[in-house]
Amino acid sequence: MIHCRSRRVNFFACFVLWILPGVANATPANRQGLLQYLGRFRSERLDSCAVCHLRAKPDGAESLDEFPHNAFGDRLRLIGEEAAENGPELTIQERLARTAEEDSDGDGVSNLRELLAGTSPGSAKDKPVAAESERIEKLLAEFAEYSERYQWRPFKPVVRPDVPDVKLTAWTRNPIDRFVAAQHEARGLSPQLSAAPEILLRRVYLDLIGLSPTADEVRTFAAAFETNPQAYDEVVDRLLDDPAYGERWGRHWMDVWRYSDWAGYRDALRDSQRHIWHWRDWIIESLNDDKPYDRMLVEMMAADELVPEDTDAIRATGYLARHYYANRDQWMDNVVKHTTQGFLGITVGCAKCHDHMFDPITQREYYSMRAIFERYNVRTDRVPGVLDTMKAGIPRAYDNALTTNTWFLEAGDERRPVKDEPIPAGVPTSLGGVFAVQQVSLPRLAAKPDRRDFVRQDLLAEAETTSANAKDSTAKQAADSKVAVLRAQFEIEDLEDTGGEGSDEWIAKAKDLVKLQRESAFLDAQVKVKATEAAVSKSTEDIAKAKADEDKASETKAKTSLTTAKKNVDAAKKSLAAAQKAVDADVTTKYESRNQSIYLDKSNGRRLAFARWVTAKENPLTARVAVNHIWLRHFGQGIVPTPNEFGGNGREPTHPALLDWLAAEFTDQGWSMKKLHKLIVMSTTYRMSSRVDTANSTIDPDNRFLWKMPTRRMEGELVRDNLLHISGRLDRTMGGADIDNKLAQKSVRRSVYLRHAHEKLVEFVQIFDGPSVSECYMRETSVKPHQALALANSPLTVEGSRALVAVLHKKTDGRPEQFIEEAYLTILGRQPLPEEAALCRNFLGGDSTRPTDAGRCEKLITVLFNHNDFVAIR
Amino acid sequence: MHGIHKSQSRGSARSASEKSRRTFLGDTGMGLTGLALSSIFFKDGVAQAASSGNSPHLEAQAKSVIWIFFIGGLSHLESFDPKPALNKYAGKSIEDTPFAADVLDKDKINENLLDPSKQTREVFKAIMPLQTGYRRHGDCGLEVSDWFPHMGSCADDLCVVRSMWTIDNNHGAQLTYHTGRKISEGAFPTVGAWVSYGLGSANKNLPEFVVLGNPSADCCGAAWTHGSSYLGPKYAGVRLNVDAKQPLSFVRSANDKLTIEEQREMFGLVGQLNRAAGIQYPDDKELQARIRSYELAFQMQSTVPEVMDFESETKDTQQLYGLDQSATKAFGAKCLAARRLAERGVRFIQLFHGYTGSAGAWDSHIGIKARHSNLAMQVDQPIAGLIKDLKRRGLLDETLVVVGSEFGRTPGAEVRNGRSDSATGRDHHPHGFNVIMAGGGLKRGIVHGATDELGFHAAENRHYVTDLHATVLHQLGLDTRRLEIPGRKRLERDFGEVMHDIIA
Repeated sequence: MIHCRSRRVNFFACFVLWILPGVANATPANRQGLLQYLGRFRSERLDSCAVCHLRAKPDGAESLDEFPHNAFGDRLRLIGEEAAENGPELTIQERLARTAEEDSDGDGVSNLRELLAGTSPGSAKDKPVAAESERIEKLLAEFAEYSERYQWRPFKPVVRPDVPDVKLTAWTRNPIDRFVAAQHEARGLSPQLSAAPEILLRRVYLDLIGLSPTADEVRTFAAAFETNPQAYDEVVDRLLDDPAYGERWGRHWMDVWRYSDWAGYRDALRDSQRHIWHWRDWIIESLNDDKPYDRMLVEMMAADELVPEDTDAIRATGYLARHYYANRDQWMDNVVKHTTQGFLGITVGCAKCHDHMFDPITQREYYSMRAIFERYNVRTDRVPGVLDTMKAGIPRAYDNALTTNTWFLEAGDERRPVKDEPIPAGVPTSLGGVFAVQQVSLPRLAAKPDRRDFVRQDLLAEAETTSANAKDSTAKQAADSKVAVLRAQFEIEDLEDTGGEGSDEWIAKAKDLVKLQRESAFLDAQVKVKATEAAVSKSTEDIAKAKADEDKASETKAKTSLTTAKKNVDAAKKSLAAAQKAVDADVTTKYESRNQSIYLDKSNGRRLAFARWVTAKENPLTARVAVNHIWLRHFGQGIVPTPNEFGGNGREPTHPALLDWLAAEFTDQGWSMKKLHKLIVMSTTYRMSSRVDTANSTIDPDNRFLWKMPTRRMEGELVRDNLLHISGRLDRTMGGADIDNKLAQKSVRRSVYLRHAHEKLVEFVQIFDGPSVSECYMRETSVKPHQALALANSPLTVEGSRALVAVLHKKTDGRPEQFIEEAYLTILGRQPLPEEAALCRNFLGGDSTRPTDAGRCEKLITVLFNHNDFVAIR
Repeated sequence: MHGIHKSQSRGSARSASEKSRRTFLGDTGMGLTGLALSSIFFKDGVAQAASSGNSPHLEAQAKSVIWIFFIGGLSHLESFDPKPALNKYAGKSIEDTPFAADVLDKDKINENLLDPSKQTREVFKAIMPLQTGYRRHGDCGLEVSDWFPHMGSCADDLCVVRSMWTIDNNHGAQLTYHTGRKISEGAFPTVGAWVSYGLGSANKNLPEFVVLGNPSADCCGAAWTHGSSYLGPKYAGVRLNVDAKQPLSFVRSANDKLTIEEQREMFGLVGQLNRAAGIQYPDDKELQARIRSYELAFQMQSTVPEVMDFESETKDTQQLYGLDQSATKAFGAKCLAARRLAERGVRFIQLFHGYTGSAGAWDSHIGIKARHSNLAMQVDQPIAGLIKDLKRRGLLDETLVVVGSEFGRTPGAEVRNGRSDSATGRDHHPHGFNVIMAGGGLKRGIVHGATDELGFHAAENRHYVTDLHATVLHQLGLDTRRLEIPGRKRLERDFGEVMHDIIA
């Protein structure tokens, strides 16, 4: 039940608190500090104000004066103030540690002993009874050990921890294993042995490329495994180079970055902007190129500011063209909320209505972060070969104003903006780092994308085609005149863009253009007159015909048409006269500009500054969160179990030191995801068997400390992809427009290319816990009869079985034993156990001298597609 | 074929394999080889309680539970817990009533909330009068609000508990209502999952635990509200559509030439092969669940469309549930389906009403009068119809109907500064609320427990939500304290106490 929806745990605490009490209270951060300091040693009695205050309840108190500290609270305050004067501030935990051995209330029992006993260290009247002393000393010793644990400080920059020494050095291949083994040893767990080679091979194939190995690949690897120590290493390298890697991991990141296809409602930005699939292709290509993670984040948030003319990179800003609600406030809320959850693992969204209850983020900082994004919007730029942006184009972000217009909303209520002063862009100060905004000047073609050469060529080509298809000489003349106008417009645009407006050359060109435009208008008017006259003739003929046929209805209709046509002729003739008049008039320079979108030639640079702040090595969260996401998708469980919540509302990491070490390694290796994958899959930890061991499961029933490899289940996309792949039907074509989700049973493309939008989901994938469009930081794994029916009855299975049986029957000449072995290797990636082979043999019937009936074989294939080992990743 | 390992035998020790094998086969409910292929499916009506290792602990009073849940928070004050004092003091502050000290005692307010520091919530003090009238019904004279007249007509069969409380003042309480745990503690087995685990199925052709209607949204528990957590996915609720044509996706094979006998044989082989492979993974709960899911899926292809097809129900019955009216049709169909499922031996049928994709339709912070009266209209006749239908068929004794919501609503009107709809609704109220039950061996026509004069705190016979679980389990013959999994510590508050006073 760890899943996609783990976020609910986090959010929940956020949306509760839209009204705050009017009383002074021990600040949640201080209380949280106390609880974190004591951890599991906190006594139930301590969940009260009386630890630090004279009274147990702050009823009615408006300030500290009305709710004064006791001796202990005073001491904590004092030591904090002293430290702040002389140097860095001390956290509550640090203050508690420094005063642990003191006796603030002078009752003869030290502060820490009182905290552990559950009595107040600030009240001499409240102290443990003598009989308790033995228990307290024992607690003290346990607490000392607990305090020496690795200090997990997700909001402080990563410091690479030392790799621990462990006893079982022979088991460890790389530092990951030493961190994992240290936990094993501390908890009395013994790691599982290595998985069998074919199990490992299938695991790493499915993990890295999402497709299972073929029977021959299994055979080759199993043979090489015995003789070539590098065999596994070589497989891993090959898989990381396979373009299917980008498709497999692309889908993972699309969950985190909440990819949604366009929902398909005219030109509405609904779920996302039309043609958003360009962003999906950018994700897949970038992963395959091993584009550094930090670079990917920067491009997604600000490629238009960083590389304004790099169309390929600008596809990345599709990340910002991702939206569901029609309301700008909600749009901004979602951008802030998911950018911080996805990249930083903090729920800044909680601070929309009040200061964050558990993390050091103020409500004002929430709006500062919103201000980073406030001025961006989304447009569609043309692509070569297609002028109609409804048909094709690149959806992308751009800034449409240079002012600041973010307002603080009282209690997060959109109807209550505080319009005294706009909130400037900024980041939470508690996370440190440098946020330096610099306005960006955009090159000419970024602001005027329709002046790009290919757009002009496409416009000319369109006009030339019209000319070539012209029905008569007038029409041809009119079309040619349009080409001339376009050429002249391009020339004058270039002249103006290089500062030539008003020059003699410009005047001459402008006059030429005006002449051309008048001529063109005249020719158009001539064409129009011809067309309207033709309509008159047509209607006249229709009337005659209807009369002859005695068809009254048609006659009436034609007569009406004739009246309209005659009016049109008159209008066209008037236009022609006007156009003629214009041609004869004095030539001016007042030409008509081309109809095209012109954007600001500057961008705020706020998003770029933010992206750089996020991806700075000093940012405490970015690398940790990224590494945790990757780990989660290799092991089915994160080191921090709540991948979108590293703050006070999240859960404690199982291996905090390992996470820090990996984060340091990740950034030191240039944020290379492929290097990180390799490090992980080469570890002994990853190569363990997934089999259960009773002694271990008694100590750690949920395998939190990885004494075995967790068994996972294929995501819905993988179930579908492998039905296609194994049966030899998969079309490996990459990229392109999304495929209608209703075609999921017919299409033979990978599932990542199927439409995935709020109301347009692939049912087959959703049955296997497919991702939510609005948010999915972690997938859920359920087992339901619906999955059995989907796998047993779907056209994908039926057709896949039919296709595969033809191949395997031929390959094995229908000999039953060989057929069974081949089917097991092909579908499940392993040999059948003797018992399994016997069951299958019995099912196939017949005898071994003759080929088995293909119909029975086909059924066996379907059965194996329904085997648990097909959907399980062992 | 060099080097291929015939099995993944490097993993665990051989000596353990026999034990593992036995354990595994026990866990999946049946033997492996030597069974005729067709016999791997149980016949109707053969109980399988042994499969989970838990035969009933006590003598069972009831066989099935129909658990109806209103998403968002039903106002106890306007359903089954009348408080004339609210009309008397309408518009006054709670502080100006004689009950102020008791009701507003901070300690008392915080007492039940888990982590009160994380759950700060304003106490709205301006008393809102009752938004509907009440009248007495039946021989027992049970007071029922005018929004629930049909349920009122069942008064002599109802058992109302007015003294429930819970630990969460936000909609995470939807999960709490089903598990006893706060949402921030994560997922735990729900009451339905415990029933499923404890009893197994009375009908191998249908899931033992079925969910109808859209469950809680992501904010408030989602699939966890019918989940099984560490019991394993085998015991989680199975969602079905109340639609005879498409109760389940892919309910027919795309191969239209495949006969049912052929498919039976294929599903049989799937089960055998999974069991054979599973010997290497004796504790794999997902595998065990998958084996069961195939057996179930095969049967469900024919049983579920039949259950959801109301053709055989008389017009009179359909009208009883309100299927002939647009307001009641949707929920009436769920209630009728629930009866049909209970008749067929499904143990726990969980019905959701009021899904909105967020907190839930019942969550009436504003305009409670319009919202609640409209929602009540959708459910009142269907639930009453269900109780009457069960009763006339002689099924009410063995079927326990439970109707509830994650919490009640505040006696004070919710103030929303600067908004025109301020003070037209009631806020979340975890300190006291009601549940309504019928049948299943409970007393009839009774009220148990009480809230204080203002309907604020549960005052007499206070019951935490797990007391409801314990009572439901008890009626089914299960002792909540004997439901425990080695290595999974249950807290005192998880078990709950049986409400012995309400048992007949």
